[in-house]
Amino acid sequence: MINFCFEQIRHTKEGDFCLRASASLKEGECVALMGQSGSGKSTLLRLLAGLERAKGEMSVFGEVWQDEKVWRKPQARHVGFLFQEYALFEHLSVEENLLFVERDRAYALQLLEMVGLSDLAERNVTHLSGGQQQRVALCRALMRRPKLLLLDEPFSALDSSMRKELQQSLKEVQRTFGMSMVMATHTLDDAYALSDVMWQMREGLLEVKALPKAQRRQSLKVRVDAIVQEGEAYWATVLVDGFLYEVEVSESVCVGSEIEMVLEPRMKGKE
Amino acid sequence: MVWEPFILSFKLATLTTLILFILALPFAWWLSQTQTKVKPLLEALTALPLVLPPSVLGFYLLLLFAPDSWFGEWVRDTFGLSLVFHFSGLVIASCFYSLPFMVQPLQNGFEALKKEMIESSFLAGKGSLQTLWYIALPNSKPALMTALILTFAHTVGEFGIVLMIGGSIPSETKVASVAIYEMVEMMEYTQAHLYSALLVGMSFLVLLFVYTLNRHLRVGRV
Repeated sequence: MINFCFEQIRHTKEGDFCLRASASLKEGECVALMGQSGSGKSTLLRLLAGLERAKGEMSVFGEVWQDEKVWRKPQARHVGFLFQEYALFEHLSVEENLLFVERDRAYALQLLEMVGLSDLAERNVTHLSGGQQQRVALCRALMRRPKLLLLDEPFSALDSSMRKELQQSLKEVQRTFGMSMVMATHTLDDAYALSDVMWQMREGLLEVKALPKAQRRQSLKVRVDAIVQEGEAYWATVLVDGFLYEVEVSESVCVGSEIEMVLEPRMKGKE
Repeated sequence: MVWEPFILSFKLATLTTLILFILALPFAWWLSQTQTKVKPLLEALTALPLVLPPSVLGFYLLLLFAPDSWFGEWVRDTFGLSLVFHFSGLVIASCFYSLPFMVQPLQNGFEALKKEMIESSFLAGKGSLQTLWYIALPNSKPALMTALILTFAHTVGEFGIVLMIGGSIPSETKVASVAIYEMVEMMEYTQAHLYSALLVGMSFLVLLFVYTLNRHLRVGRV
């Protein structure tokens, strides 16, 4: 479990800005951190990474990263951070960017393979497209095998096709490594695509919310591929967009028949 | 044509550039990263040689280097060196005089780097000096070249402070600029022309090299 509680007051030209955030995050959980520009999303990510300081406490799977006496530097936190503008080391190749973090070539190549960039390992990062650069940045963030992956608007500089590619890469990474993730975004699509929980920042205050299912609910007519009985319940297996879902149905439904189902954002299908 | 003053000038410039690079690099890096309240004070002190007449700096350094001053005495007792009218004194004086030419381009270069790139290095577990050497410096090549070459060229062109600290001792402190001054005093205009034209030509070539290289490095980064 990751627990934190921060309070930071910033003196700006427009007046004091107070950030108060307290929440918990389970192992392997993916959080969408929503909020308007200037609401404090990036600041919260920076506090979690140790790039900024605030009063408060933070513990990560039993280890204290911050309290009254302790404050771990970013170097000692083993956090993966994906910046909006990639922040790659521009004088290095794709592979060198990863090996700068850890001299583990096999792992670096495994990560590049996972995101489909193994052919470009020798290329200088400035010669890649935006989507490719962001995937290199994702691999680099994973080189320290982080317990917590922080993503600051990772898709905002990408066009829609690259956004989809990176979402796929992130899903793949999350499925493989199962680390906890906090992703700052102001797009509901990103939140639905990747996250289990939503945190909402409003003028520096953090609210924890369930995902707004109603906004994404889709009513679909689907064909039943199989039915399994578990006690008194009947579960139909259906295929939607290449993903398998299990839906509870009544006893009268049979294989091959059409049923109406509501696809919700938190439902996770199997490929 | 006596080449000794030129050789002395280039020896002085090379040593000054090397010493300043070693000392000013971590200082410029620290200035670029720190939020301390004394930063403006340190920046102002660093920039002082730019605005002070060389005679003012020369005067205070002369007092500091004098054999009966605490510093002069300490240097003599510890290293067996006398700084006034000696080449070693010229090197130290040049380091003070050329300090802003090394610090300012480096600091500006480091401050122009993307903050996230530096933070990525910290998040990769690297310390401040590792980040400076492996990330900041390779990404600040134009600033580095500017700092090195301007420091070198500026030291070659020193006159006032060199004359005050070193005087004009052949093979010891008589650098090219001082030699030209003496030739003019003695109305040896042909020799003065030759020395001056050489300095103009070399200075121009150095600057042309800096600007061409910087253009090349900037274009290469796009």
